[in-house]
Amino acid sequence: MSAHSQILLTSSEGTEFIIDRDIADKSMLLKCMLEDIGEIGQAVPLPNVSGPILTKVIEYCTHHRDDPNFLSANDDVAAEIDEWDLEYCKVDQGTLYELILAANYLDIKPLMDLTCKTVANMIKAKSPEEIRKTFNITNDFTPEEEDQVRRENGKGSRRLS
Amino acid sequence: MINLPPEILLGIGELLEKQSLLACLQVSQDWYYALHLTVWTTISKQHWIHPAFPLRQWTPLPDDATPYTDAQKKRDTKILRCLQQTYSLTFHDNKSLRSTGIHIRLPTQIAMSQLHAVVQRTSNLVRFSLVMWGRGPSDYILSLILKLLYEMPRLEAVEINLERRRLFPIKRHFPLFAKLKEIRIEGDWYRGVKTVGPAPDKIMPWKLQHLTIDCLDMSFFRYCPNLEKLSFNPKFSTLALPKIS
Repeated sequence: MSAHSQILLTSSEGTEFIIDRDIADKSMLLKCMLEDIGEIGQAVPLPNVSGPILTKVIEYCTHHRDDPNFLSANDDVAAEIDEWDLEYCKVDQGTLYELILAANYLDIKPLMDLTCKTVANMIKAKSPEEIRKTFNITNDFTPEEEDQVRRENGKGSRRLS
Repeated sequence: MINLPPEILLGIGELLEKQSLLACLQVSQDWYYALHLTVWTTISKQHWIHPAFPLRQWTPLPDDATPYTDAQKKRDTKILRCLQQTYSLTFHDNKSLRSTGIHIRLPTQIAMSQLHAVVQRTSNLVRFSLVMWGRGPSDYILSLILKLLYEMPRLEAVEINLERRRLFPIKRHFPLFAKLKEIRIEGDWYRGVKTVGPAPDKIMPWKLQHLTIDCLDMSFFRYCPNLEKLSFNPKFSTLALPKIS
């Protein structure tokens, strides 16, 4: 295995990134692609990922470079997020959102778990109105629908008991 | 964060506990539609088969809310295996009891969503029977179930008996019917076929051998060159417990 070879990536704006093969392998998308077609020496275009986000993603993969249980680390849903990861996720919502999409696109499960868990933590113990405020979501239920949804899922509904 | 794709919302939903999940359902339409089925798999992990639901093919799980232990996980795995081996599935509410004036109130919504959860796990089904009078499953759940049925490779016989007020375009389900050997349908849900009858030559010939319906509708016969047996449901038969035999 050519563990020391380097891979060239191009972000959506055309910025080029050179990363080590073992870091690229953290992304299932890149890993499968590189295994399938081999290293052809050309840049891999990532039209869905912007430069700043790709930098963030590479930062994550580099930090977890030698993590032996990289793929199984976040399987435990209730596990605490470690300090570095916690700090890593302290970004504005737009960036977090882009990170989720990038992790999903590049198929980096631990990053996906981490970012989703961060969003889940932002949702926890909030009322629907507070969630809307947090994520800047418009309430597009009609009054009747809202009433019905609240009756079915709100405080005191059967689903909660 | 305005437009998270549903599959990602779903991933986030799986990390939430019940209360937060229910709050999420009330946030917006997108969130509701992305997450409302998760509620049933999440909430019902320990008891996704409700004891009140008359499911006949296996023993229901006890309805307790204890944490998900290894023993339960093991049992669920076992049940999942049973479900995968299940070849005949019958859901029905108790019509005979209702006709004698005894009313049993099923927790309809739980039952209907669980019904979907169950059908989802029985991929080797050969016979499927659903008999619900009263509200029955919503169009959405019903269409999900029909879609699941369509994808089951071994399915041969379907009985669906629903009393419905709204019409459900049967045309969409012709491909499902086309692969079956036996159909028994009753109730309002499939009527309206007269207005949506598609051109017969565009549909492959149905394998159908046994057909039971409760109103005479020629549209069905046009597609059934192999029909061996045709029966009609006795009208307003509230006492008979329908059964594919």
